[in-house]
Amino acid sequence: MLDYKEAARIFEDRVDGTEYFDSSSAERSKTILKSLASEPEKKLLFLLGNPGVGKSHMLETISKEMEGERLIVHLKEPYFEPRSFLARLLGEANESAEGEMETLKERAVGFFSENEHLIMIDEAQLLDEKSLEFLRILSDTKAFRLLLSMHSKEGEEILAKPHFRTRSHRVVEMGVLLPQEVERYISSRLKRAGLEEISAMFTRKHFRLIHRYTEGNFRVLKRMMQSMFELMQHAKENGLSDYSRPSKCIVDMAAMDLELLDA
Amino acid sequence: MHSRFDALLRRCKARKRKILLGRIALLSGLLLFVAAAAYISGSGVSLLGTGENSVVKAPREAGGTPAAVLKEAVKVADKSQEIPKPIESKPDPKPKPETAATVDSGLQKSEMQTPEKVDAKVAVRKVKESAVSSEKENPKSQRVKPENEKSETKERRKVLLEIKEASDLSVLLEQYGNSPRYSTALKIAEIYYEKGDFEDASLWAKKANILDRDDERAWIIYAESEYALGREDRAKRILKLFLEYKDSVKARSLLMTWSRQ
Repeated sequence: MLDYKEAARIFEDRVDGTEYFDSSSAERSKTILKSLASEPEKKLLFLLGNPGVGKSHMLETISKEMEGERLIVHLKEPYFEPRSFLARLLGEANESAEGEMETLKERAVGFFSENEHLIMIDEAQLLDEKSLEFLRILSDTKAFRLLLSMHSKEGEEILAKPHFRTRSHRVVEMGVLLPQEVERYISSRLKRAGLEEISAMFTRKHFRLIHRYTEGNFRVLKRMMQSMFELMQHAKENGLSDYSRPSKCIVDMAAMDLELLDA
Repeated sequence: MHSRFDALLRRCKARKRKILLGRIALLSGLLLFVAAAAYISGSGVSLLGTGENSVVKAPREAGGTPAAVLKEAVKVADKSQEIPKPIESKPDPKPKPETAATVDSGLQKSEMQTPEKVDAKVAVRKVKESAVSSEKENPKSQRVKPENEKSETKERRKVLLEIKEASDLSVLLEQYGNSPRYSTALKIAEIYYEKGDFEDASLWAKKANILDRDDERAWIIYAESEYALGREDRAKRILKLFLEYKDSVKARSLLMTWSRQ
């Protein structure tokens, strides 16, 4: 029994740390980030990548893997107030978040310079000038180990600004999936869900086409697979046997559905 | 249920049709191109044939026997074959007007000689052309010659015709305008190169290259012209591109020489 509904479900976009895929680019980024996070000097770290390449998954994975060895502060959305940010840091450190701004800062510097930690801020391209400047000031104290994840384009613009350009920082870029990784990802996900029969229906030609349309973008790939299985499910339910199996037309239709293909 | 299934299916089918039509159009275009090329090359041969026919009368006018005329033609052809080929004999990309003799420069040199010699050459050319024509027309003379000699004569005839074609740049340009052929474009490029006009040499080598991507001569002259113009990176890129497409000892050695410099 071909369960396309289940196949579509497993490709739903979720960021829960269970979806990390060990692509060559992701593995390389993870290794570099973990090694930079363990260096004695606390430099400002940047994780750059296009939307959907898997930066959030990466932060989630690093968070899980380093949790036992240090304090991990993972901000999935950026903060917009320096005070609330300090309060959050002190809260994670089980320290009091009461007092003046300068007091909170001193308390945070005191705690984080003494304790191994990693503060990760996702979607940091959304931070405003004031917040970025505040982070820069915190980084200058050499007490905080900060990792900012942001979109490539905006990230490069931020890094080009004098207050970051002139300061010591490290940049790690996440790339896209290779064609063979697209094949490995789809097959492994389907097999892990017990859908070997569906996995076997895909040929290398299909995978190459899927890679071409998605350009190796992780999120787009998942959306496309989801759409493709929904289309096949529809065909199956309506007796359209020509379209109830993976084919070039079905891949094209899914690409059109996501506006990846103009036709 | 996928709400957009039907719309997507329609778009997919339309795309399929579009691709199919595109392929058919491409194939038809290709066939037309091949047919046109065949027609052009066919008409080129017939034009040359007409030229030969026009000089058939020459031996009769000169009063010579076909055998004597043929002997004379063979001598001339031997001389013309001694002229080295352009480009292939040049290891140095810089222009060498004195040493890098080509078919064209050979002609130019011969034209620079004394008027008596020029007249003599013209006479010889007439004789040799008539010999070639008579060879075609007179079955007796063909019977006298052994098979290998026949093919040799064919080769010589080809060389003679090439010399004739390349004798004048304006004629070549006109010839190309009427019927764009690889050999014509290449000869124009070679003439420009020999004259030191590398811009035009590059332009014509490129035109030749478009007409025939397989022949290394256009690639080489194109690269050498670019190199002579000081666009060394571009020249190297051209050779590398050609080498990716086809192996060529000449291109490799040229690239190696430039890389060392």
